[in-house]
Amino acid sequence: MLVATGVDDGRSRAWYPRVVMIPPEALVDDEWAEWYRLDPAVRWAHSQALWPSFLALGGSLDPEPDPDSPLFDAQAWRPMPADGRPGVRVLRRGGV
Amino acid sequence: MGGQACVFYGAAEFSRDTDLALLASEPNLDRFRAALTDLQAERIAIPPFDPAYLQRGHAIHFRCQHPDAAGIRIDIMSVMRGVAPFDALWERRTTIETLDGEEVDLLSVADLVQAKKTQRDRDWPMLRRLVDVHYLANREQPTLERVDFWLTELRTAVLLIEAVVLFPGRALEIARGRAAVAHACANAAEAIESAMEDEERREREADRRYWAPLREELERLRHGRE
Repeated sequence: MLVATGVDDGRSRAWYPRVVMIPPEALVDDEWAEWYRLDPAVRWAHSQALWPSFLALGGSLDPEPDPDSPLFDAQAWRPMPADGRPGVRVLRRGGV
Repeated sequence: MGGQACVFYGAAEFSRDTDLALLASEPNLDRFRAALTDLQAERIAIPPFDPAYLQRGHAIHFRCQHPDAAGIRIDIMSVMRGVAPFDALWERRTTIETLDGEEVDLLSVADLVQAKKTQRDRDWPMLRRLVDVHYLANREQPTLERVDFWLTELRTAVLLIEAVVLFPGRALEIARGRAAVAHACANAAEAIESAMEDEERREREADRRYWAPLREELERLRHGRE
């Protein structure tokens, strides 16, 4: 765990109380914490390396429908999912 | 400017499309048209590829047909709500070199955070991670600019509390304009969360107001009335 003993606030070399710094693992799971710690250029390279697998698995290049987006058009044509069926269908509705 | 930049800055692991912030000048649009030709890209959906739409804040969408980029979506924008004009974005950009030796220019993380203050649910967790990652990676190398960015934009309460302890002088100043920081100075986690929810609500509402006339314009285009 990191401990800051003297931190520059950008204006002066003030001396502040010892602060136990929060590690990424306290905020996110281990996988994300590891991603956070990577050098940005390495993150970029890792992400680019996912492309062949993404495409091989039938990943769609269309954006996911986003009803929150001001650009969302409910009537727009969209490709079917890779398995040919909508991800969720209503099979039965409850009484309420 | 979108998902790819979020990958670089650590807030996302993958992005399937390419979002570009583009200077809508004629010489630059000519260069972009040449790139579209190389990529065998065609415009999809609305609005049409007209600089006037870009300057009014619309996004224009393309799909590549070139075998090396088949199906890839490219979305371009020139004006974004709450985001600095293109000249300032360009001045502050981050430039990276890929393993192939190509240079890619990205929005600065601070500008990307502004661009993510939208009405969309999915942008807010992304925005929080962008600032969190930047803070976690740089808190031991603070500059005045960085400290102000963190204190103004951090949206994780425990990190904001840590930041006001580390940078109390700037925190007291910024607390005058940001309630969440004032509550962080008092170590009041619940009040911080509440203040941040208010911030988010205000930004979402402002984004909805900003987009209302643009949405109407898109609707008119969809129904062939323009």
